[in-house]
Amino acid sequence: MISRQAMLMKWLSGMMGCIVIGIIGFDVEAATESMTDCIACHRERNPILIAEWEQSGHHRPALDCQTCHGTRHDGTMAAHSRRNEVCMACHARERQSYTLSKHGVIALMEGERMAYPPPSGNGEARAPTCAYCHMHRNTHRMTSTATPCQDCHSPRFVDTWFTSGRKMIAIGAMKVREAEAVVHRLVRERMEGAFKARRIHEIMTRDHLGRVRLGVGHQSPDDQWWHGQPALDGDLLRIKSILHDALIKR
Amino acid sequence: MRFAHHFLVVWILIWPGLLWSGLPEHARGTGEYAHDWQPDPMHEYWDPGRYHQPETGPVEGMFTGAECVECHTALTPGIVKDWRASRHARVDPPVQCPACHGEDHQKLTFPTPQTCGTCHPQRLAQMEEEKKYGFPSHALAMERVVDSKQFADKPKAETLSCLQCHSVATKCDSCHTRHRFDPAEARRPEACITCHSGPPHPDDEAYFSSPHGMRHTKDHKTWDWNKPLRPGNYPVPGCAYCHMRHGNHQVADKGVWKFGIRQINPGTAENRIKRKRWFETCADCHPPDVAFNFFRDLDRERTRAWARLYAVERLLKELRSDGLLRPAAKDRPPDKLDLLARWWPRARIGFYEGQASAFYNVGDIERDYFEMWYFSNTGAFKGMAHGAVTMSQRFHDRLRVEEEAITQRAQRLRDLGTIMRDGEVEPLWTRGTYTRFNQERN
Repeated sequence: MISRQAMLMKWLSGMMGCIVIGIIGFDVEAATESMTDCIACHRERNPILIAEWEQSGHHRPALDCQTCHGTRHDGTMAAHSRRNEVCMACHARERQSYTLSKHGVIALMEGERMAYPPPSGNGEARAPTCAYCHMHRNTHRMTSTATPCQDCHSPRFVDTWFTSGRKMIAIGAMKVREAEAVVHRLVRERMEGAFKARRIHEIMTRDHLGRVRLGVGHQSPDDQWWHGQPALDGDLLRIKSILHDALIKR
Repeated sequence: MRFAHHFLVVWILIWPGLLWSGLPEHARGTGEYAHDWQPDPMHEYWDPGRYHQPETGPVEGMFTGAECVECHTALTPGIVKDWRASRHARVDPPVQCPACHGEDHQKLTFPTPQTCGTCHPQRLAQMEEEKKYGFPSHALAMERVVDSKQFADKPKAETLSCLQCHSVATKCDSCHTRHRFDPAEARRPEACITCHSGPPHPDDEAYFSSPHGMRHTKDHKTWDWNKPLRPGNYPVPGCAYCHMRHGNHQVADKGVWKFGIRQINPGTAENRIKRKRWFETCADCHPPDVAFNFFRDLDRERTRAWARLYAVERLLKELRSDGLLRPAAKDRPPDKLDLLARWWPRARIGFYEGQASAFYNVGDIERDYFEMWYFSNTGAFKGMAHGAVTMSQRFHDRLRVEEEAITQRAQRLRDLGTIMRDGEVEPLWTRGTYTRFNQERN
């Protein structure tokens, strides 16, 4: 049995410890270069790069240079940020579709052997990484174009892939629209199950159609199909079944 | 005289028939429903042997390997780098671009397994041999997909997503990715997971959460994957070690439970031979009774799963007999491919009625059973078959929950009955943006 004083002492020492660590932590923070320092120097050294970043979706209060580049200013900052893990820390959904794609699988297997040389372009990597395509030739604007594909694939293949891919996404969108019409009717006529139908419709738009899009972009068959099209089919018929039930009860 | 008359009639009739069957191959589909679908442009890259059309770019003439490399180092640097690092570039004489693609730039081809087989005949023969075991198999994968009803029925830009994986039958680079074609890469379990993942075949989850897979995750960085798949070369097996034993390029010679999507009898003569092959494979590391107990447990697990599945199947068939399935089969979009099904519409329930392709245009209860059978059941099987017992149990829990939900739903359908005002059901299930599109343009 611990006495009350001993417990108080323990609590106090714990609190003191926290405060001390807090102060030291604060000092370390202050010692590393802050965001404004990066920008101030690099705006002069790489003005285009900073301008591109400012136009990108990554230009937001929660993110700074260190988020991707780390804090070690020893020449490894660029290579560090080209690694897939850095992007995947935030992009969880994209992570799954990419990791299961052939590109992702090769990147996984090549692992440490894969160099991350500057600039990411010209087919240096055995398989494209996140940065290879979305920051092709070091652009900081975060692009999603077909240009990087042509470092390895023929223009005709790339063109066919994306033309067919766009059709595939459009077909997924048709399912969402068809479901939308049913949901509207359920809501308009205040039928039973309208709330549930709306929730399924939300999953269709946010998740399953998004999976088709990611599947096309990342060449990930699983996202195009099992998490995409048949999942949308299931959502659609479930929404229709809700209306069917409601019509019978009426 | 009479004979000559018959002969004349046949002779006259044969010409339109030949003309009809002589349509250019690229203009239509293949397989059972060949006349019902036209391939998407992307199809040529997944089945190059059948559909590839040579590039008609501005470049003309015959080229040697060195000349190809000279231009393509600038045009498509990635693939040239890959080829340089491949064994094809290192052997003497090197296997250069024209060996697989041809010399004439206006008539370039994509290599098929047959192309690879000219130098690797043993591997091709092994792959071809796999066909005798039937589905599921790598060598029959393309046939499987184009012969399935949902492929022929749905828009081709949608079912295009099937082809990427099923092209494992028509190209070799699904596993030996171009242009390095490295056997070391294909030996690793990661090489399989692009296709062997997702709800109906969570092989990735099953393997990586099994004791074999966990050891792989922990230690694989120190293993030399250039070693052949022989006993003693690897501490634990990857996918290929067991399923492509000794590097044999086929995966079906030990397939007893066939993906777990139908119940089989593991005691038939054929299956006993296949089991014996499994025992031999396991014996590379384990004493005989380990494998014996393992397969006994697997068969028990299957019996347990199928008892549940059959109970639900019966429930659905009873609903069908009582006319309580909603929508009724006659209210669904007509079957474009099957005349009999158009005349006599009938809901498809269970493996033998082809429910595998009835996951759309059906009522929610049928879809619920489809997911129970095709997703949860296969998950339970895959888990158990790979030694991931916890995973299998999790899917069994899911099966139980789904059975309860379907039973409740069935009761609700009975309570609701079928009374409905005329003309309300039909438009619900046969109209709508996608349903209309699918009916008009598959």
